[in-house]
Amino acid sequence: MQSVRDLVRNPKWECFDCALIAEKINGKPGLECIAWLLQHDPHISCILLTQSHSTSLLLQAMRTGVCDVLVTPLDPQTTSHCLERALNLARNRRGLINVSLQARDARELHKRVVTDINVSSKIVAPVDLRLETAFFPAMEAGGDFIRNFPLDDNRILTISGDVSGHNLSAGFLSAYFLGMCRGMLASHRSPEAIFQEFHDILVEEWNGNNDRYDIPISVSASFLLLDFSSKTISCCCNGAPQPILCDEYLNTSILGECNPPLGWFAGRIAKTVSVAMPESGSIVCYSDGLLDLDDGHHICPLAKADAVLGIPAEESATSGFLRGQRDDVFVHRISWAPNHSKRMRFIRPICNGICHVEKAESIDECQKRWDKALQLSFPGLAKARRMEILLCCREAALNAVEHGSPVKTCQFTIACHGKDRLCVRVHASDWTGFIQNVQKDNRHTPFGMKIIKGYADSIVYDATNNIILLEFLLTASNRMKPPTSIQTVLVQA
Amino acid sequence: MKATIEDSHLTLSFEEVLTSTTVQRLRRQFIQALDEAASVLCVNADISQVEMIDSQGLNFIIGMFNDARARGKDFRLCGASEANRRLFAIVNLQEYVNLS
Repeated sequence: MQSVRDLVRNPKWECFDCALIAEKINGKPGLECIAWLLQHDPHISCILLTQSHSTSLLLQAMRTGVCDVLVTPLDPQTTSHCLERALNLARNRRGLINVSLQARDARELHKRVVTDINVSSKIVAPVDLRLETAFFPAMEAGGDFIRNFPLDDNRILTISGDVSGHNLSAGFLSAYFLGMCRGMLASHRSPEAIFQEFHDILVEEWNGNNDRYDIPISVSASFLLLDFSSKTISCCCNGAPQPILCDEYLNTSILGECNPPLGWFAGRIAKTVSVAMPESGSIVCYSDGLLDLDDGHHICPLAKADAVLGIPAEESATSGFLRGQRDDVFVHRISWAPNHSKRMRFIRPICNGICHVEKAESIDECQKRWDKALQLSFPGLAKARRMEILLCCREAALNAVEHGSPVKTCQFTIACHGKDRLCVRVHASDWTGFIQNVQKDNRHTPFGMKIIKGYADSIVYDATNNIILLEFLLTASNRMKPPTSIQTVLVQA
Repeated sequence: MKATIEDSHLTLSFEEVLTSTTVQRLRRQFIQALDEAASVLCVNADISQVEMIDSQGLNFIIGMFNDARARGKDFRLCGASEANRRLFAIVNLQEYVNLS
């Protein structure tokens, strides 16, 4: 054992790829020596030499980590094959370690070449601005990226992308593209021109000259341009999940148009679509790796995005929510609100969708979706309060379709305003007339609105009665509260 | 829904939510249980395992009360959780049903 310790400390130790160790060494178990050896060098291949054919010894040896067992007397051919396998195994392991270290170095270089600039301090805009980004790569090397570029005159450009593959080639292409963006932006080229040029390079030069790959290299990329002077939002989406915009009235809309990734087909890239910027709002962008997270539970992407943004950067594979992630995950949320406004604070949308109440099970599915979103975004929220909110959402949906809508659907958005105000917006897809005054008849007692008024801290109807906004104070405990504030205002639909 | 009869009392134990998606089926089961227990004097609805009651669930409870009373039986709602008791207070369920 002492001689083995001395050997491991020798600087030439890494020259050894394989160790043959006898079952007994000076009367002591050879497996102990192997266990100690693997603890100090997990990549070396260890072969146990034994006279015994015992199954239990074989099992114990495998558990210890030996790669093979040779039974004496040794047969030259068997021994030769065993040694060859063991040496190849060790060399492959050591080779992978080197590649992994190189990939890590490449990623660090990538970060230094294109740093994520803290843009919020560089933007002079008549709004309070918040930028939140989370990036959890699945492997050391890969091509997902998201970067913010402050442009002059109150504009901010966000470019995000996902290069196919998780290898050094993907990492290189990602760095190349971002370097190209940085250079072309400095020359005042438009984001559309940058994307079109990169797309042409991929189609004609990269994929056109590359006969090594069966599948062409592609980049799912999008850009988002916020212009605080002209109050417009422009989006160009090529193969990436389309960003979601949520305004202060909790209207949600999908930005951009669905289009193939860059590098697939020659020709024009996706059209840039522009919309008016609301006074206060939030845009959420995410990679398709987010959609794979916790798959099968039908959790709204907004809820997953909000949860990922809440994960500390030092966590990742250890985080319950990210455990088993199959792809790189990034999320970017841009929020803005009028300067110093107390009424409008940053919006965190956590769930949206359509509830089809004509199918009895559909509302239960929606309720599960809302429940998952609330649990993910507010893990500390008391169950009783969460159930109250869910019940109100359910009653709002039932009320929306029970009293007039022939279409039997309603749109839902759940978002958090500021730190502790949860807002729920229910928009009937057709005129329904939410019943504001409770009336009784002999057949049916309309408890729905009573329930909503009992649990919600405020209720806002729009003037046409198509939209109802419910507000809940999340810090509220179970208490008999004063009457709910009810208002009727014009809410933009 | 489980139905047990003991000492002229029919006890109905509900082990699921009382909502728009469950009440139609539960109402059929309730009527069947009432028909099969014609001789009982009192119906106890045990809702200790019920996590959520929506507006249609509340109407179901009122319906059970009315149906039991129409057959000359007492009706009691028991085992309500704190959250459900709060719900009953909000909607003034005691105006419609005797709450134990």
